[in-house]
Amino acid sequence: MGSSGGGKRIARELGECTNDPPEGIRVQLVDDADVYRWDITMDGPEQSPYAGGHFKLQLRLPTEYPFKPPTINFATKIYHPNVSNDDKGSMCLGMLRSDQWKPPNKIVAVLNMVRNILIEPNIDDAVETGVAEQYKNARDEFVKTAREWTAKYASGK
Amino acid sequence: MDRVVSNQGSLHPNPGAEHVDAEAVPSISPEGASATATRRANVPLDLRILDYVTPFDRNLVCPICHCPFIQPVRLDCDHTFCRDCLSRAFTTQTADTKKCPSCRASSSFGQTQTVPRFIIHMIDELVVKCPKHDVGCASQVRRGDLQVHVDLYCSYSEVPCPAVDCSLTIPRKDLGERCLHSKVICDSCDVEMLEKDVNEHNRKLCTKQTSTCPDCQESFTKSALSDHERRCPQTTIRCLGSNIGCRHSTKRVDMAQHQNSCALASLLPAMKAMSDRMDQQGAALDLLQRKNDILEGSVSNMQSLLANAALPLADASAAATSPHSTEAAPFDSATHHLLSLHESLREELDRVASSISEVDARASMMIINENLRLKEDLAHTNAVIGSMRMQLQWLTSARLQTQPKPAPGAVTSGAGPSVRSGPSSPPPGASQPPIRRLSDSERTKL
Repeated sequence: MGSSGGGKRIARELGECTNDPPEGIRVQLVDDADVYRWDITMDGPEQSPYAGGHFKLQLRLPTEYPFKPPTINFATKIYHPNVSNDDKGSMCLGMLRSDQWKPPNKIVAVLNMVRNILIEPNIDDAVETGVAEQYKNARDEFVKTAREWTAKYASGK
Repeated sequence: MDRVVSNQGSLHPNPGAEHVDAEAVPSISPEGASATATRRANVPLDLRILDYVTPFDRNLVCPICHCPFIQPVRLDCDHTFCRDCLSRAFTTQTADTKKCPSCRASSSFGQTQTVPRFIIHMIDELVVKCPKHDVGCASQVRRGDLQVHVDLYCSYSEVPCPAVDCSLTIPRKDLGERCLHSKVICDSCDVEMLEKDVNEHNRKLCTKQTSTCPDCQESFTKSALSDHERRCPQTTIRCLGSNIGCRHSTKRVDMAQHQNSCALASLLPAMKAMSDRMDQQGAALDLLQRKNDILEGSVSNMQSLLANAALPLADASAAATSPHSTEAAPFDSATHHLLSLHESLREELDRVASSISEVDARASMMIINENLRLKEDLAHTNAVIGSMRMQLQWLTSARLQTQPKPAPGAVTSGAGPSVRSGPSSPPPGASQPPIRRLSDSERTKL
């Protein structure tokens, strides 16, 4: 309870996320004693090539939260222009950037943004430029590979 | 929690104090201004860790800490934050011109403005639990009065020890004339504790200290005594049948003997079963009655509806109900009455249902008839459209034929049949009037 105000806010947001979770998203703590690390399970949106997949994400809140943005990592491999294709699976765009983060932003909004990015990748802000090129120029191939990866890595529970 | 409160001290130089001092003190002073109460604890409160009793409006919540505003300030862009939240947000920004955390409009900390007074009043009205509620304070006070409550009245808040050389604190309720922070050792169990904790230790925690049972004169340790009191053979207890009338009471050892002979005690299981059954039946009756009420209501609704819609039917139902209402009177018990009422209601419901289905059938017949007519109309329209299309085709081909011919062979071969079909085929170089006549003759043929 280093900064009690932030801790209280995080606890409140966690309560909101667990009692009234956004569509296709489940939230729990990695460790019940540590509110700064969240385990997220996100179902692939129906209208995306990730449909049917269950993606595990890790959300870390800095101790300065809400003054610094949370970080999001895909623990499940995913074929996506905005998610780095390495063992970190990091994603850094939009409101997650520290220069664009605003303290009034809520974690629910972050999770919804991630879900929207799955439905519609942000090509101008891609970390995997190759995937972004493919998304732009050869959409069928992109969809095919994304489906394959979803079946291979994200179909299990 | 105390440690946190004091950590927050630097961030809360004077939380809500100007307002609290201004109007909360007079309202709370009648509570009692005893000598001990005037000793102030003076611990700045962290209002963010409070539990709110009243639900609060979402618009009164700071977008940064998600708590009801604490000393709110307003920026030029009309966004409002707690003063501390805003200053912390500004310290994390590196640029010289500070930006609004919500809209990034430029502003600096010096440019904050006060918020309307009614907002301050609204957040001060919110009722919170005393921060000491986890150690026993049951008070719920307005947030604006909380500082005063904790400083002056809460008997669980820590106040400085009265001894000059002691720097420790003590809950206000234990405050006496002298320092209670010397170490003492319990005579019975050899546990070392502070003098202020002795009372609680003696009451509950000591494992060795004994006291005697008032009934059997045996001694037990404190923790075992309450357990013993429930089993002591010498304690006077009342007969099991006391709640159905037995007035006998005797010591626990002799009670078994009494209960063997006590008629009321032996009747108890049977009575209990009967009362259980009565409860069940009462509940079932309640349920039936409620159902009946609902049915009655809906039937009378339907009756009124039908009376407006179809007079003959309403007459019939009125005729059907009137014998029942006269019949209902002779029934001796309420249940019979309810049953008969239920029966009549059901009959009525059946009648209403059949009339509804009749109306339904009629309506669907009507819809089908209408549909058939519409379909016929549609087919007719389709036929007309088809004929018009054919005319158009004919016209186009005729027009093509009359065009000056860059490729005469192709045109004559394409238009040949249609030209031949006309009763009076025009010469190849004919002008428009003959074509019009042709189309007229085509229409009459169709």
